[in-house]
Amino acid sequence: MQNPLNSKKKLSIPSSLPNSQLSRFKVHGLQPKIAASPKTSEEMSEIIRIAQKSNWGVAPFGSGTKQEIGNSPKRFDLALCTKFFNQIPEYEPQDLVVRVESGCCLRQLQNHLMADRLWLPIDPPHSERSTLGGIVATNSSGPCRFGNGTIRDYLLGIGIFQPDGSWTQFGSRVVKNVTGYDMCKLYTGSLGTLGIFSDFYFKLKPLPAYEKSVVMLFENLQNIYDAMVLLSRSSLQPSALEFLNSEGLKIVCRKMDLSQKFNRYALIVRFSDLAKSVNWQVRELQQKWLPYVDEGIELSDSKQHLLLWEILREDSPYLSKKLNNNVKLKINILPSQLVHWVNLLEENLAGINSSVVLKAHAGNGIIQMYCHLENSAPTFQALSKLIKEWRAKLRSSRGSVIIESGPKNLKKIVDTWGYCYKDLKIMSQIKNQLDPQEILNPGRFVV
Amino acid sequence: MKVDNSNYCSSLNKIHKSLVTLLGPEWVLHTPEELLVYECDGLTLHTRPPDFVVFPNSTSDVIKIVKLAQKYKIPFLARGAGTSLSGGAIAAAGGIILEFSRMNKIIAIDQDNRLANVQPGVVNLHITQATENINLHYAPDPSSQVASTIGGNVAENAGGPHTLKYGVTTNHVLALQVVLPNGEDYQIGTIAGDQVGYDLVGTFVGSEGTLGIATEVTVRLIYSPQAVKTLLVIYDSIVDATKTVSGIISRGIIPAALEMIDKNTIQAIEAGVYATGIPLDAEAVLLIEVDGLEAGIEQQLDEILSVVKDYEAREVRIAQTTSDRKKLWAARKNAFGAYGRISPNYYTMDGVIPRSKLPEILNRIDGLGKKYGLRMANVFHAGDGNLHPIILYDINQIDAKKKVLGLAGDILRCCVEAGGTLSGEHGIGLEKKDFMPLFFSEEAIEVMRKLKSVFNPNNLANPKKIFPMRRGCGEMSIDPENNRSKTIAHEKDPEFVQF
Repeated sequence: MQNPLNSKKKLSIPSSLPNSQLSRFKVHGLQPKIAASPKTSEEMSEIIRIAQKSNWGVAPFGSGTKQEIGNSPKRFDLALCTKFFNQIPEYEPQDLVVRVESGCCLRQLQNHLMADRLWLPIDPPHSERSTLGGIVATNSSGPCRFGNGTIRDYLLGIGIFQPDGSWTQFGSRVVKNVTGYDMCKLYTGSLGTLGIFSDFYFKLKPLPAYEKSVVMLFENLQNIYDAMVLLSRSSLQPSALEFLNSEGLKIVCRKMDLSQKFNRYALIVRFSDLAKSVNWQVRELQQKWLPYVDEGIELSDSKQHLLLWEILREDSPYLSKKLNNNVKLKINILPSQLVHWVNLLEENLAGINSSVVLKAHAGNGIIQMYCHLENSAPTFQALSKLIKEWRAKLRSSRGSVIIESGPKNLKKIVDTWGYCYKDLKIMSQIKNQLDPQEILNPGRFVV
Repeated sequence: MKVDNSNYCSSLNKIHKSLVTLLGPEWVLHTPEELLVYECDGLTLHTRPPDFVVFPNSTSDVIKIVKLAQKYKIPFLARGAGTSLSGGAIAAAGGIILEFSRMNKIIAIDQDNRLANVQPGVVNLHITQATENINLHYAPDPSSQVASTIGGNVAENAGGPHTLKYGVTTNHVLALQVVLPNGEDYQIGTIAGDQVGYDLVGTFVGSEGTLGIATEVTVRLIYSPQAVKTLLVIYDSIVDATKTVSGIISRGIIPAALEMIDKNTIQAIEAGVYATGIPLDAEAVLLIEVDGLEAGIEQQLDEILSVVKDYEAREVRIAQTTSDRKKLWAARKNAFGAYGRISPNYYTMDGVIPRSKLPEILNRIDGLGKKYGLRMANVFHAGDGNLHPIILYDINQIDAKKKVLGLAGDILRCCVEAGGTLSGEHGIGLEKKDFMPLFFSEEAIEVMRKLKSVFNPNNLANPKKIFPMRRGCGEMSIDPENNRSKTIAHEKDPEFVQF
């Protein structure tokens, strides 16, 4: 990567947007005083320098798909949009490496790579619109993390503007690197609080030769538990393993035009490998799970297969567009505790809402809870009390409950992150050192 | 921080007394003869004995030792097996080495969650040996894995041949118990879903002991493959071997391992106890491994063979038994040790380049070796472009060290110019710290210094590692004549600590 600030071009005036466009950059209902879409690295650097001198609160903006995450900003003066940082400047298919700018959408990148039968092996929600910058900033992931890992495992190098406007690079285009500290890891998931990304080097993988999925339906959670233990002790290598409760299954079946008995749980297993390996694994799974499964549906039609995983990847199918007060929680647990927690959540939430969707990246210990709340203070209080109880129960395993989206009145009475562990002190100190004026997304993250 | 020489001995005596009270006399080494063993690690070119070597038995011991070090402002560092090849376990500023051979227990294995919780002194390979009966193993497999410890692997973000498919240490560490240089202990990371907040584990792994000491490590285990096929492919030309490597990767095949060994290395191996019958006139061999499900293994093997066919291999040997396979890997993993048969001394380097540049860079390195009049050998992780050029030399020859270090510097420059980095898996340590400005801008080094200052503000934890001297603060050099580091006029530089 060349340092963009070595260009001899005279710095142009930062590309601020007209006031009429400011409302596009709201964060939790708050509108910035200025929005800018710099077209060059020099402009980006200049704007950040001005922001630092002026002590502005700055929110980096990709396509805004994940701005709901986090607390409301303590200060919000400038929305800094990466729209024009959307190029793919370097691509070496023979080395399985790509360099892509932070404002480039994931879909654009994947389309570019497909011609060589390669991909960046992640499938986060909002794939059509989300930018690589947003995905890295939130460490966003989807079902295929089970077999492939997350963006953290594919990020090789990062170009990042520091809070003082200087541009820095860490890592590079090579797949192994222990040169200096692993800043790529620190910046992944940092929610735009430590710098503004300019570009990334990612390592790529070949697209799977063949794929098949099976939707396995279970009468009860004990059968799910037994099935998962069997799976974890087998040589089967699913690329994805998703759980749905009956409400989630209802939605998926409706969207896929499948008529099924409801009041059942589902484990949806995806295999991606050579055809012989995939077919062997499907047969093996069906045989192993025979005593536990009520019914199994094998999906071989590629359109159906794609549709299924799109529905499982996204949030929108599970959030009502007509109703307000939608809540999405992310609950991080020990994977072997999935059934215990599904039981607990269903019991606890029965009094608040009878149609709560529970979906999980079952092999990774990540439960996604979707529901809408009655617009009443007692309902918010009840959910807030539950969230606090769950957090207390998760303390021993260092799990967490995060409010990824929810009404303002809920977030007023229960902390979005609820991070209470001792290492919060280290995180605060890191933030203080690297962004001492707290200009980047102030107050939005755990620190 | 300089201590008046007249108080030097008295302070050392006080520290010794405190350490003995803390651990017992049998767990504190302090005589010159005892300390000599610890004067270097795998980087034998640089030596500096510590003032003490101590053997903690618990996190609580580590906390007390670190607090003691802070009280007396004496440097300290952790050491496992001392296999570091970049000087990571050398007490470059003296001080206390915390040696972790007593903290070598596998605390727990969680089969259902595929995790193991271990102390830092556990030998890498011992994890796999403890879990193979339940078909699990720990994937990162540095060549030193029969000796190197998990604590050291974490400090260096160790790699190995199978990291091509399975990733390096940082992809397999989920949580740590760490003692920071101020003596506070923390749990970082999580085994429950995703970490919330900053990725402190990812930041800590590979920090070479400069951010603190890990006293407990939770690692991910993976299911052992049903089937494995290992091939040895013999070439009459190193160019054909490197083209095969590019050919395999560019066809979208990711083998489990893809290693290259050159002629000089073949000759060293075949002269020793790990000989496997590789022809001595072969210019290069590739050791290729594919693994996975039984159902697909033959197809994987066929795909590899179809690439090999395109690049003029002399011979292909496929390991027929587990014993054959182990022999091939023993030859590869003991290659470094085998150099002792063909040279009195050798220096192992570690650089990374884009795979597609392998033929060009190998050629350049060969030319550099000739320029300095030094023999070279190569054994490396070809699949991920991670080179290990070996410089063969005789320490008794005039200017030997100067030439070796000169050649090493030129090779590193060559790697960076090719779009690579300074280190793929050995770390920066003492060895490459002065080359950091080749790769990083001043601003980037400053950001990393700021990060370090959060954890290690007074630079007592493993000082003189990773970071170059600041400009204008004098020079530190390795004195090749007497193997000692010497410093000149640098008291204001936080990278310097003199006790």
